[in-house]
Amino acid sequence: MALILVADDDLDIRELVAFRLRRDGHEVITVEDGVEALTSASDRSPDLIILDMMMPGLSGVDTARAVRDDPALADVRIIMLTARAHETDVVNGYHAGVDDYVAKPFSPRELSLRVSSLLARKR
Amino acid sequence: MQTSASASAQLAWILFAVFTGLALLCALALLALRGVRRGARGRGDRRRGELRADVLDALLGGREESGQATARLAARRGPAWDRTAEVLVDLLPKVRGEARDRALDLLRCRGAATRALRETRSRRSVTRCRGAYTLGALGAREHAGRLIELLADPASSVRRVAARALGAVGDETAVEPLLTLFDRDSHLQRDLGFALVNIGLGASPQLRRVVLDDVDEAQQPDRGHDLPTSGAAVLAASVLGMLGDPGAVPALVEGVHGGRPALVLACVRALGEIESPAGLPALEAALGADQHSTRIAAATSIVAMGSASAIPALVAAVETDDPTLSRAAATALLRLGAAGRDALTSSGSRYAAEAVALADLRSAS
Amino acid sequence: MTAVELLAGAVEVVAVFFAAYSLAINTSFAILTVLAAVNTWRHTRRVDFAGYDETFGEPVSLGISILMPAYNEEQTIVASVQAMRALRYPDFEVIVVDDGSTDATVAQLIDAFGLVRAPLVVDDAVPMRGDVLDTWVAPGGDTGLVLVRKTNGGKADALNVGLNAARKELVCMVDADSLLDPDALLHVARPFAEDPTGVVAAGGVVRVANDSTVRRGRVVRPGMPRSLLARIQFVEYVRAFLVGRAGWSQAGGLLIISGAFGLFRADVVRTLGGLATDCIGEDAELVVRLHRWLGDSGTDGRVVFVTEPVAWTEVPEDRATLSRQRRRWHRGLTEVFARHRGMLLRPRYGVIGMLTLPWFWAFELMAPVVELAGLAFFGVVLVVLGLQVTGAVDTPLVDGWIVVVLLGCAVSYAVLVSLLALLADELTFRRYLSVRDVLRAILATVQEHVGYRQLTAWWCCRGLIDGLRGSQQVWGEMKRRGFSAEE
Repeated sequence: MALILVADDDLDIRELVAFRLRRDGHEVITVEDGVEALTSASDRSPDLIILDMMMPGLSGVDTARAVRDDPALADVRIIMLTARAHETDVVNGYHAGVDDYVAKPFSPRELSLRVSSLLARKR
Repeated sequence: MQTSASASAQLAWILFAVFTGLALLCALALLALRGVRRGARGRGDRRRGELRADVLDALLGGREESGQATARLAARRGPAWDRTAEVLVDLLPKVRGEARDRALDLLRCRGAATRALRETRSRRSVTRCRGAYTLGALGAREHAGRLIELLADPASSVRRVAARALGAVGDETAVEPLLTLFDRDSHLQRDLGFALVNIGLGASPQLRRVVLDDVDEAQQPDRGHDLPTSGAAVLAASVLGMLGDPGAVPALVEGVHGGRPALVLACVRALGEIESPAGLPALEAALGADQHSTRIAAATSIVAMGSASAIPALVAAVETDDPTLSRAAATALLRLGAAGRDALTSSGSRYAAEAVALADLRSAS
Repeated sequence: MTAVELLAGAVEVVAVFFAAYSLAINTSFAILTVLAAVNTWRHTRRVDFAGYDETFGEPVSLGISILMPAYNEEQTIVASVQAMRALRYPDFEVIVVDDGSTDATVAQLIDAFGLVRAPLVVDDAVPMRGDVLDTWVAPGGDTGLVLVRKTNGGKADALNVGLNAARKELVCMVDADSLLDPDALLHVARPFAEDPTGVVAAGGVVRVANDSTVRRGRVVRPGMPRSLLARIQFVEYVRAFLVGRAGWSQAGGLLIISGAFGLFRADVVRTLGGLATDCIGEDAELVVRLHRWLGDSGTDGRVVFVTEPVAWTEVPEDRATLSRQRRRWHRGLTEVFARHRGMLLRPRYGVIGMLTLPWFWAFELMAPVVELAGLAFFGVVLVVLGLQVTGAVDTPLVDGWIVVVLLGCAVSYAVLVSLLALLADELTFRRYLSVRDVLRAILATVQEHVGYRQLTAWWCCRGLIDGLRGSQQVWGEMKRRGFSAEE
């Protein structure tokens, strides 16, 4: 089905998300930080990227912004995983081009549903 | 002089030998420690890898594979189970929903809660911490009583973990003990606040009572106003605000009218967070309070409710050119929409100009 | 008594002095190391259950303004700022103060982050020497990243401007080339959250980053440096932070936070008038002045040390850079002492005045002087011994080889203390070094005494002289300014 990139510095989260999405039939690449996310994104052109809000090296918002700045990645959907829902961050995220937010702790099933619905929607 | 010289020479040699010997011992100990720990960590990493596949299947798999993986995990004994339990407990705060329920079931059927309870009776404070933490992660409501007992533990780390665990468990009987803990451990304020908010609306009646009790104390004729506000009452008021309970408004209004300054401020802020119109009269009265911060909080809270009556007070605050107050007042005015914005634009304060410029940038993108 | 006997007696006295000094300095180091180990042990226990992830869900946390002064850093500025933005903390802003850079620093920032001009208020709570040219914010009015451009005025002045532009309750002063741990703000902000009125400043452990794997401004894998000079400094940093910071913090007398990373209450720093622009060691000077203010005003405030690695720094690997650095540091220390010598041995400054400052004076400030003097003394003794042995002089001036043995004791005691520090560090920290790296560190504790100590002592002495001369100059200038103000 789709190619999904997952970026989070927490091994547990990476494994949980990857396992669930692979069970759904997607191909999943996992990376540990924002910089690797950008490199992988330009190499592999994923359909959807799941980013953690806070990662070492490049924050989630900065990574999202960088992805949007890349014309080749214009159609990529972005989901942000966040441990908090501060209004300013949500607003900054939307300005940066994030399509959806999932709060931590997250339900793998709910994440899977959101992924499917985002992929179904065409930009 | 000769004998004293050779005596001191001997002393010098002895010292030299002692220092060098100890240095060598240290060096050896260092190497040994590093070697041992390195080995232990390597083994640990390998074992975890084997474990993970089963855990993922058990938590996220379809019914059949999950059942098989769960059975395999449940059959583990001794240190193998301990590691499994550790991995599962680590995952509990990170997931919700079916995955979490499965992890909880597996842990409980192997008596994880009982085991954690035993750990809370250990002599070592680190073990007690782990036990308390696990009880919280498991949501072990049946053991809330033990957690409450741990609020009186001699080790402060245990008290902190127990407070947070009670928040995770969510039992209302913990509210009063948590508030009482504040007097002893005011530096646990954040942990206690966190815990109380997590307990939720069930905590509200007791929190209200604490606020009202403090108001009663303040009203007492001879000493009332000289004693400091109870920190617990201030904490209770802030938590009521964070909970957003409209039922708390009468108590908070009482706090504004009859409380001591610290409590008035907390109640004013809380009323702003709850945003119930029933609190509006009290807030308008608070616009004339003695304390600067209270007046600003009142104005901000009134704005949060969408009422324009606070505009003059807020403009005055912006023009004080005090960085914190001016910026807070400007932000509040902007939230009122056109009316507030107009008031800002006509103000000559640099803080007004800054706020308007930033707002323009925000709306442009 | 004959002249010879007098001389011999004098030699003995001097030898005893050096021996006693060495004993005192090393024993105090050893005590501080034990105290530090206790401090770290307790702290490590707590961190396991600190619940940092939950911190993000909580609505109440103290905001932090990170102040980054920048001057001509076009190569690294974008990466540094990105690394700062990626720190894990719920509420913080990054304020970059460009101190009149003549290269593309500003252009790089504006381009990389899409900054736009905005009339942000930079107030005058703290005096500024330079002029603010303009202010910029991130797109969409996001004040999480702010750039203030000013005319050149030095690092301290740039930090003061940053202080005037800061909006949060806590300020963090960092060097543009500091590599911060992603959780640094969480660790060092915790004491403030627990004790909002009591804690006024906090610092953490700074480690050596040479030959560690660094990716995008974050140390991913700590490593042992390859060059000997860097390895010796590695051991030095462990000793300095365990002893100089953690140990004193446990004893209640923490004097200095590192300039590489320190967190302060913004209102307190403003009350102090910001940093001193006429002092080389402006970061240390601020903390000492802070202690002075605490004592003078009778305020209840603590300077706290957090035993978590929070920052990493690249240490010099060539002699030229190292010599300049040490000379500058010691000059700074001298200037600070000259300025604040009125605090020594005064009870109103508590442990700092009665214990820490005198200790620093004796064992940090004057240590290089004593070391060099001891070296000279030892040289003279060897010469005399040689003369005695070859029979050129027939009266026993120096008693056997006792002086040599004493020197051996001093060295072995110092090595022991270094090893104790490494051991305490190993016991209390989660370290990721290999066994081979540990061996290298052990060797470095010995290698330190073959040249390194002597060289640094020499550089520090020159710094001390610079400082003494410099402070006279500064005072002279101030005097002239004072006169001209009256005219």
